[in-house]
Amino acid sequence: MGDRKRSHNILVGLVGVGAVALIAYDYVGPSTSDEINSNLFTSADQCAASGQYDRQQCTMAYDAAVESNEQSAPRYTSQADCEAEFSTSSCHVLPAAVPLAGAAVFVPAMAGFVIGSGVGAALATPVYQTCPRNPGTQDCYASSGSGYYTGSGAHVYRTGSGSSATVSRSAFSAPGSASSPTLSRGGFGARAATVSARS
Amino acid sequence: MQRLAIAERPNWREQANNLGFDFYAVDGTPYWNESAYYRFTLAQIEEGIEAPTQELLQMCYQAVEHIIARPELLRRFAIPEFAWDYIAASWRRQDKDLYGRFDLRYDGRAPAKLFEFNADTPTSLFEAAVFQWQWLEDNLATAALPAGADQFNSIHDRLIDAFRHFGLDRRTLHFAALRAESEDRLTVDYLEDCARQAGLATVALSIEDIGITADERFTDLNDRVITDLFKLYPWEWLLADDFGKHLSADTMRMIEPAWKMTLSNKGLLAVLWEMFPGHANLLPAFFEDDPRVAGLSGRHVRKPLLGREGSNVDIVRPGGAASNGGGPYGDEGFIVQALAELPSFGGKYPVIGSWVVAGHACGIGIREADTLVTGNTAQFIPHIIGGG
Repeated sequence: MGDRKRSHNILVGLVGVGAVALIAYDYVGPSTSDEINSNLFTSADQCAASGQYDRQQCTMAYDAAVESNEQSAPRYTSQADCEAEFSTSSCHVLPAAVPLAGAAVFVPAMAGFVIGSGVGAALATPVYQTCPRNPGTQDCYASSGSGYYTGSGAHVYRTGSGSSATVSRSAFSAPGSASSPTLSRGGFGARAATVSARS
Repeated sequence: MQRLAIAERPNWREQANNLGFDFYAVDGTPYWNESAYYRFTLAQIEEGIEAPTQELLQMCYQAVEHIIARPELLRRFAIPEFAWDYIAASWRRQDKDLYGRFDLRYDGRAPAKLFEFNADTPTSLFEAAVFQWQWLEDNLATAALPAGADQFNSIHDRLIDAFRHFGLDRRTLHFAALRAESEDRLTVDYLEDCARQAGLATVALSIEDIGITADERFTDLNDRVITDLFKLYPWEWLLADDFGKHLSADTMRMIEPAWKMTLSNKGLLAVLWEMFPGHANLLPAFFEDDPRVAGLSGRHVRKPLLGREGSNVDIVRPGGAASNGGGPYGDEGFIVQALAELPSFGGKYPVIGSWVVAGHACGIGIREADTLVTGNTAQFIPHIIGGG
């Protein structure tokens, strides 16, 4: 179409914001070279029913995801912040977490798990399903097969209509691989109340 | 360069709400205004805006080198001394910059003139990159705009490409904005989405949530160490905050990088004029106490070194001064820039916001006001190139 001075197609899938159907997008998923063919399942039963893994692998993967779920889940200091990204029925208080400045910690529920082919069930990771929707409503726009993210924020793309998924290798990195005890928080942002950050 | 009227798309507010662009009206005053648009020729865009923007950016990179080497300038810029080595290190490493917005005077004829460079926390990104693009596509589809109309706007594509080439490998990129600022949150969410489309792992958090460890590393709410942080929050505020002094431990890669502090300060304008006097795209500019201010003959604009959104800007001209009403900035000092009055298009005064992403001029967003000082009540107007 000649030398356009503008972007060709724009897909905007903002987490926490309604995904808008802009003009037909031909986005085909991440193009990084370290992708792993994986499978995404919402339960151990669904995993076993797929026939791609045996029952024991599925159960081990599911259990591993559940075990790391508390560490992995994205955390929020308010129910509203959590619900801005995930569904209202999913967000709940994390009972074991140390409150931050008196505030409870809120996390979304685990929506499923991903097993990476060839790397074994030990590297399964939990996933969370976002709920883009109109402000003030409960029903999510996204179809049931999309909007999955790992705890570290890697988007897990479903390919085709089955359980196959594409996820980057980094999604399997342990969430606490470089964690460190936090002495204190809130040391940035003091000028927020007084003036605008914008220019 | 023309300003033309056009019918508003019937569903544009719904579209804006769906996208999270819910600040299209500020306290009832419209911000996004699609009852009109500007129209440029391709030559005006390429020769009048794009090429000068590219050249100005190169001049700015040279200015960084110049400023970092001169403690007297760093002091003038009110950059705290504990951060000087930290800034120099980020420049030596060539820490990559993501974006910035040059504000230009352009009327379609005379050479574009630089008003200032918003190099740290430029706003109106989403409107420029996405919403005005969609405005064009919708109006082309209904033939409300002539077939063949284009737009100087590949900002979105450039952002994704920039994230792909940031050299982050498998490191997680954290995105932080102030908790209470919904407009900032949209900008940061949009950039995070671009980063994800580029294949990066990302985590969002609020500036206020950032924690610190015993060895001066910074953490998110899951106590994960932040290795790379995009922040929509000014550098000078970070340094002044309680945790600010620990940034010089340099345990976290920042976007924008620390060296950008030399460009997000309006002292840059005086430095550029010093380095490139008489350049066609520059306006004469001096620090306020410079005797050469007298040579501006009482036609100048006085701006605080670290001001925002037109606050504390005073215009001085023969026949009467015009100020936009004060504001909270100016403690660090002022520069004085020769006055170049904005062109009038039917009583509207447009400022061209010329975007650079990863070192490339790649689009513009136009904001116009009813007055000569473009403050935070200016309206965003879309534009086209050509189109019959």
